[in-house]
Amino acid sequence: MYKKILIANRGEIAVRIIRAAKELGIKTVAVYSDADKNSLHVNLADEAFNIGKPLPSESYLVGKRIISVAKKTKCDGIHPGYGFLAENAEFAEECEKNKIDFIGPSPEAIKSMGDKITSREIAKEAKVPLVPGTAGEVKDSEALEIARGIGYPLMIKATAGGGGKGMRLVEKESEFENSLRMAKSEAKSAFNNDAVFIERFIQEPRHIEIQILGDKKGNVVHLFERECSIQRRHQKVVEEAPSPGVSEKTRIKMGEIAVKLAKKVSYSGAGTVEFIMDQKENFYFLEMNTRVQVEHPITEMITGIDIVQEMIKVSYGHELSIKQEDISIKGHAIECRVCAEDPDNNFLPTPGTVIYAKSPQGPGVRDDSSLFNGYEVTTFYDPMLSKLIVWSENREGAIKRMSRALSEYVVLGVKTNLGFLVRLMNDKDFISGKLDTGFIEKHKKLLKIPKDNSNIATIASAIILHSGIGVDNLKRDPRFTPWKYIARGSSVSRNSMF
Amino acid sequence: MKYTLKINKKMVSFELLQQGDAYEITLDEKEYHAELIRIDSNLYSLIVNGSTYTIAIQKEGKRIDLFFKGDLFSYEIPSVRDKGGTENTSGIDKISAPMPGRVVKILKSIGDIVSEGEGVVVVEAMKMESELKTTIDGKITGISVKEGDTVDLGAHILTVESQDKK
Repeated sequence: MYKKILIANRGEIAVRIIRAAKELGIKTVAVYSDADKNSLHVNLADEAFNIGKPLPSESYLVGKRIISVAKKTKCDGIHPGYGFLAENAEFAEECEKNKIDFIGPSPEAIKSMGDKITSREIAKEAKVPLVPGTAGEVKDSEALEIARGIGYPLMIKATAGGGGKGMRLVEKESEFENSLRMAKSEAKSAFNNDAVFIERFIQEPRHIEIQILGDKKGNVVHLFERECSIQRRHQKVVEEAPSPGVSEKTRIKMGEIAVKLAKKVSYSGAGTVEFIMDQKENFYFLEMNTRVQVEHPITEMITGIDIVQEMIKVSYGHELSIKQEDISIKGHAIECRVCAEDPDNNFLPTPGTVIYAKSPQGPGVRDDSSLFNGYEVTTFYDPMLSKLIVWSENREGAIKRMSRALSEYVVLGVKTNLGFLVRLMNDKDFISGKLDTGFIEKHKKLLKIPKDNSNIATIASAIILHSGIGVDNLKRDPRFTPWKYIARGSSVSRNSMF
Repeated sequence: MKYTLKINKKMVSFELLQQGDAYEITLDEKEYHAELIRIDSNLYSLIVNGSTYTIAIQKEGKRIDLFFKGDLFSYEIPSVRDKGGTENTSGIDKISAPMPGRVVKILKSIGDIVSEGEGVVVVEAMKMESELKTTIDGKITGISVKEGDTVDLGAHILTVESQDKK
């Protein structure tokens, strides 16, 4: 097994990888930018090195600097996490050249699956169902004719795209030319590449993805699906496994197709094959993520398999410790991404300092977080504070557990999406399981703070304003202990307590 | 005592009356009986009309952050000028302490008729005496202090009620 690995990432995923490595008896090296010197991952790792300024392009994206730290500290592996250098084939090649294992798939697999058009061609060869559309970049002169052939509504997407940039929905032909121009200019400014492709728009689509694991000996297994339809700004915010919309028959079919695709590129490590699925369970290949996914914990919860540990083991050369027939689904898991953002203001990030944080506990609750009192939410990095994950025997139980866990979460100092998540878990449409990627758009009332809640906050504000925050009943009444408070049920007036 | 606060950029007005450890609060023409008990460094138990709620509170400089059911409510503690002094809404003038200090002299008694601009109480703060004046014509209906009392910022001192209102 590896003696020491470097984690080329930050935040909760760096913490997650350090934990996996520790459990495997591997020493860890953290790297950090100036903005992260007080971070949890720096604290937990055996060694930590500063690699530059806060801006990712001056620290976490500087492959050379990271490799030189790995060499200096005699690491035999580098785990890239997700984002930053995780899907950078050149970085993976550089690692190999320096005789350090890149803990992930081969540079060739990253290259072929990372490019949307190449991956689509590979998928086509492997007979993976694809959304009707152009295989590659469309020329402006042919675009309108091609669009007619595909039919409306359709989507124009940047070939280099991601995160919803350079994407346009076109409902009818009269809107086409204008949308094409806008998508191209957006793609040009976001990716410095204005190439776009066209495909049919799937109405009320669900985002379903299959987790796969492969080793370097040609074995590939799938770990079933995750439903990631609850999205804002085209980014996931709530994920669950299994999907409430996938039948057993579709589940098996999707899993087999994902494995076939992974085998086609000799995939090793953890990866995710993403599909778009309509409400009749017709599914089409979207893309493959050649890295550990943010939402991997829900799959770990329902299969009992530690995906990050498996990644490290197969990268070292071990054979997969599990066979397909040994993997089954037990119970239901949900993940909520707790983010410093304002749901009532287009989910815009809310930078600032977390002055107090308290995470939930209790049965079936897991909080993958890098949060601590004093944590700075900066504009340099993703505003995700933590991933709250729950497991229960069934979906209904998991939703109730998530609602309970969310209501125990406290974050002071920055606005978060916690209130929105609480309301979502209690929404009857979410509970019914009829989800699609436009869910949040259709349930805008979930974004607003209910009047009853703001009244309660106003009443507390009134008392504090009048009496000051210093009024401390803990000190004033020595008989009062938190134990009495915990023992007390709700709706009991204070008089009966003493 | 009447207050206006800007919470999450929205203006809210309410009236508050302290009775021992409890408060009578009028908000949106509804009355609430409330108590706030600190249970941990940042955690408070709020009891409103018999129902209990857990609220997290943190003071950071002039800003107060309240966290309730996943949502954050922030406001700035109003400056002395905004909060203290005299208030005049709907024919009631509630005079409160503009800063922490000592009541030197109460110039009027309950039932006295006063006119706008008339001094009603003298308070001493930072070694300076100042006379607080009423902003309306009316009758003194309440005095919460006696001479020699020390008062906190914003503490209620005296109420004048307009006569033609009744």
